[in-house]
Amino acid sequence: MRRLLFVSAITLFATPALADVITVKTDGLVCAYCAQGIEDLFYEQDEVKNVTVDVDKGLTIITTNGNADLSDEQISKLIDSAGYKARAITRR
Amino acid sequence: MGMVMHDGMESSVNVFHSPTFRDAVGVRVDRLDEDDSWMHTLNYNRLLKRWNGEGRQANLYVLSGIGMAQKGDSENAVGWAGGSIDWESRRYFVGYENRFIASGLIDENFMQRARVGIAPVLVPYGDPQPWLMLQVDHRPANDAALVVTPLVRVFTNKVLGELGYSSEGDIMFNLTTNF
Repeated sequence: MRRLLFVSAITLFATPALADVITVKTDGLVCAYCAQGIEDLFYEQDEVKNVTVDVDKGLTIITTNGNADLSDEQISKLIDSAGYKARAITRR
Repeated sequence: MGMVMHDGMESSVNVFHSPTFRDAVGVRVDRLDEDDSWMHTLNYNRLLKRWNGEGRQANLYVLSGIGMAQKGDSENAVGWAGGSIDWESRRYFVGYENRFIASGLIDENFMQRARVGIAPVLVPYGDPQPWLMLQVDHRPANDAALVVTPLVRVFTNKVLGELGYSSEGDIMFNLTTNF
């Protein structure tokens, strides 16, 4: 029993903090220049661990660091400041 | 961002910085071949309006420059202003731009250009994206007022290159890099 508790505790504390994956439907994406601009801007944010732009699907996919979060308003402002339009934001 | 462009009518080198996506400031040197003149200008370009849609985008820019013109041993102030409008998707491109030059030295004081393009294949992000384009230049002061140039454009996320051959038998190239 003590061994089971020990293993459970190790497993619990070894689990990394869950990152938030945010998908942003982004209008105006037509080329690699667009994608590069958005990626550069999001990588400047401390909260962002990874960002990928899918030009074909018109998506910006952001993974945040651990418990860090970006609000919908922050995301919309960042996309706007890169010259594009955030249309829908979903999280998982 | 830096750009080097050459065709049978003009050659230019342009370096600019965009503090915001709406604004670009830079320096530019133009050589107008038929006018046998040079322009050295400070430039400011402003994106007046962008329309973003699903998989498409349209832009309206105002372009300007001020500096010195040189022709032979003579020098004079020069200013130019113009506009540019384009619509593009992943597959299609349509654009138009013009420029008015004010200087006592330069006779070639108006030029306009239209472009249409199609991407024959769509490649994954990061791979070189090819385009086939047709460019029409109208420069009323030139002997050949109308010049048509089919060209190939290839760009990645950092570099855009264009190579064409005009109806006047001139090579056209353009290299733009984002640094």
